[in-house]
Amino acid sequence: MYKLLFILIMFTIALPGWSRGTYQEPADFLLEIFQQKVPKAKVIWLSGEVRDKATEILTHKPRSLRVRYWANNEKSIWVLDEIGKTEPITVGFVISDNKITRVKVLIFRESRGSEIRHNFFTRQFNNAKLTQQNKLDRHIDGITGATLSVRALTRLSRLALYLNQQRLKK
Amino acid sequence: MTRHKRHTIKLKSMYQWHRYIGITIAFFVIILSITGILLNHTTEFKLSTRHIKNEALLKHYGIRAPDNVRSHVSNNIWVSQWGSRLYLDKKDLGEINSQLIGIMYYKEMIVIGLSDNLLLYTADGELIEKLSSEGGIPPVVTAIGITDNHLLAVNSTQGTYVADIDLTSWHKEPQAKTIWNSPENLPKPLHDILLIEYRGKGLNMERVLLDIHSGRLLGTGGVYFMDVVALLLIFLACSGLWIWTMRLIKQSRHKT
Repeated sequence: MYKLLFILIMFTIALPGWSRGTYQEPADFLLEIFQQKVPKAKVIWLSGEVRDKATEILTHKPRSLRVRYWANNEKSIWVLDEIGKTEPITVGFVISDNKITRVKVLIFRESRGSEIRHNFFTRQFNNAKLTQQNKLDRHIDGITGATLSVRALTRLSRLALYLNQQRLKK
Repeated sequence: MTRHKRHTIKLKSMYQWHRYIGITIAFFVIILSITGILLNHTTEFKLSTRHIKNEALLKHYGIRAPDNVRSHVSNNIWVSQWGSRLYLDKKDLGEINSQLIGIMYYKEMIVIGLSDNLLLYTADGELIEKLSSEGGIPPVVTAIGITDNHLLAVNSTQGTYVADIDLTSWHKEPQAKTIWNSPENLPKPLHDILLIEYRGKGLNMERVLLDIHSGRLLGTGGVYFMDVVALLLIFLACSGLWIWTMRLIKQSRHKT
C-alpha cells in the first residue's frame, strides 16, 4: 500500500518534467521538409515597420534583430521561438502560397502545456492565412491547462505568415 | 480588600503589562508591518528584480564569486562568464547553459562563441541572432576565430567550419588558416565592477524582506524571536480587548 502511494507521489512530482523535451531537432526538421536538400539560409531583418508589426503581433519586442528562414520556389520554413509562460517554445512552420501547410513543435521547455505538440491541435493551423489585420483567418480552439502555450503558438503562426509576406515583397 | 479594589488593581496591573509589552515590541511591530506591506506588493515594487549590492549583506548570505571566471576580448570588447551568467563588458546577457569559448568583432557585429551556439550582437549589445545547429553550426564548438580571408571560423570536434560573409551558411574547411581567439584575464577595474554585479544578482530585495519579516536574517534564533514578538502581539490584542471591556463594565456600573 505504502509502495503504491510512494510510486503515485513520485509520478505526480515527475509529471511536469516529462512534458519537456526535444521532439525533433530543427536541423532534422529542415532535412525532412526539404527531403535532404536544404537550401541556403536567408535572413530577414526586423527593423522599421517590420519590427513594429512584429512587436504588435508578439505583443512584445522581438528578441532578435534578424530571423533566419529557408526557402525554395514552393515553400519557406521558419523556425521561431516564443515564451509560453517562462521558457521558449521552438516551433517550425512550413508556409506555401501564403498558407501554413505544417506546424511542428520542435522543442518544448515549459513544465506544462506540451499538449500543443499533438497533431489534433497543430492541424488546426493547416491552410491558415493572414487577414489584413495580421490575424489568422480562423479561430484556434484552445486546450485546457495549456492556454499560454496555445497563445504563444498562435502568435508565432501569425508572425511566420507576416514574415513570409515580407520575404515575398523583397 | 474589597472586590472593587481587587478588580481595580487587576485592571491596573493588566494595563501596565499591556503598556510595557507594547513599548518593548513597538519597534518590531513597525518592522513587521513595513516588510509585510512591501511583500504584499512584490510585483508592483518589482522586489524580485531589485538586487542587493550591500557588501555586508552579501557576505552575510555567503554569496561570493565563482572560482573560475572565463573571459575573452576582441577589439577591446570583453565577454566573460561568471558561473552560468554571461556579461558583455558590463552588460548582463543572462543565463547560459554552455561554456564561453570566445568573442570576435566581425563586420560591426559582436560574435560570442558558446560551446553549443553563437550569439550575434550589435555594438550596442542588442541581440541580432542566435545561431545554432539548424544554422549550420557544428554541435560542439571549441574555438572561434578569423581566417586569413577575413571570414569567421569555428573549430569543433568535427573540424574547422568557415561561414559566408553574412554568417548565414557554414562549410567545413580543414585547411583554413585561422587565428583563434584565446582566453584573457579580465582587467581589474572591470573584474571588480562585474564582481559586485554578479554577487548582487544572487540576492534580491524580496528574499531579504522575507527574511527580515520572518526573522530568518538572524538565523534560527531570529525566527524564534519573531515568534515571541508575534505571541506578544496576540497578547497585546487580547489584553487591549480585556482592558477596554473592563472599563466599559466599570463605566456602566458607575452610571447605575
